[in-house]
Formats: sequence, C-alpha cells, structure tokens
Amino acid sequence: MKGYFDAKDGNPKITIEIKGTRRSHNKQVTALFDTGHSGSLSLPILDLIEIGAKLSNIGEAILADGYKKPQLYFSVKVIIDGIEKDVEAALIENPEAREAIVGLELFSPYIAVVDFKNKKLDFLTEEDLKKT
Amino acid sequence: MMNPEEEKNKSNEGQQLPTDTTPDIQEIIKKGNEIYNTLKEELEQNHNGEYVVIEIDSGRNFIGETRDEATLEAKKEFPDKIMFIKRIGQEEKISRHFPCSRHNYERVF
Repeated sequence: MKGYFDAKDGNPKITIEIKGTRRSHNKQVTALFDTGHSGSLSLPILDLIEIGAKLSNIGEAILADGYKKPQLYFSVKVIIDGIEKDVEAALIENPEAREAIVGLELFSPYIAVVDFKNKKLDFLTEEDLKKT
Repeated sequence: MMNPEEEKNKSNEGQQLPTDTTPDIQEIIKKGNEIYNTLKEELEQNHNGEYVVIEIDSGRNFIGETRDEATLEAKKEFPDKIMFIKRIGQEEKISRHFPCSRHNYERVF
C-alpha cells in the first residue's frame, strides 16, 4: 500500500475507501497522513453525510484556546487492501474542510515508512520490512 | 369529495408521531464525566492512555487500547446506543490540522 506527497502543499497523503450505512455507496477520500493525530480517522462533515455514517459516540475535545467542545464520533468502515475495518471517525465540523485526516492507528498492523527526502510514503507489513 | 392530499392527511389522523430520538449531547457528556470520575482512580492507575466507552444509563464501561477497540466491545452489548467516550487520564486535543476555532464551531452548532 502506498501513499504520496501532494505536490501542491508538500504533505504526505493517502487515498482510502470509506463506507457508511448506505449500501453500495463506497467513497474514495484523500486523507492527510498525520503521525501526531490522536485516533485513527477524522472525516469532513460532507463525507459523513454522503456515506450515511451513523453517530455512535460522544466525547470532548479541547481547542487551542482551552475551550472544551463536544466531539462526535461516527461508525464507518474503512477498506484497506480489500479488508474492511470498523473505525470510529471523528467529525471535522468545519463545512469548508474537504480533506480527511488519518493517524498511525488506522494502519495497524502495517508499518508506515515516511521518506521525506525522496518524498515517499509506504505502508509495509513486517514481512515486507524484513525483505528490504 | 376529498382530494388525494386531504385523504392522506385524514388517514394519518390519530397516529402517534415518532418519539424524538435525538441524543442530548450535553446530557451524555455530563453523565459520562460523572461516571468517569467515580472510576477515575482505578482507570488512571491501570489503563492510562487507553480509551473508555461508558453507557450512561447502565453505567457499564468498556476499555480498549484504541478508540475503535473500546467501541467495538461496547457495541457488542449496546449496538444502537450513543455512548460517552474518553481517553483515560488525558484530554483529547483538536488536531492542528482542523481548521476549526471556537467561533466557527459555535457557528455550526
């Protein structure tokens, strides 16, 4: 599985497939790969609506100014290398946001190799890693 | 003679409207935090950094190393419930990539 570095903003990204409650309505989304991201996936509100994601959990999150706000989590399925995975996706409220954010957790048990020098992003299995 | 719209309205008379199932977000957060605080000492001693999902009506809690694991366990028992989730011993910070401030958050909700 491979990601890429976006030529426009220089950030590491990956395309993932998501699915909600709407049958046969899978969606490919571009996601920013953020190694410091808490959790596995955050999705823009429009993507969650489009796939018919179901609200599952409510938590709290702190904004930079210390303000505590409710954080909504939705049940979605992410398809990685043909395998479906149940994921709790955090809602990105800003209606202008178009890009998802993924953290390392989503790709477990893959090992992420980020090569900033050569602008390469690979997700390897332990076996792949031993071969290299 | 009634037109089709009148007939439809007539046939709906006496029917009970569906119950409002919209979750009370503030209530879930308030009760969830109250239950968390009663478990805080044990949870933070033994599961710091993990996640807990709390079903607020029964007070049942489910722990997992990740948010997904904790939720998966909770949904086995409460598949349709909206529950409270918290990272044990830590506050969830909004990603620096979220283009969301207090101002535009309040504008959305």
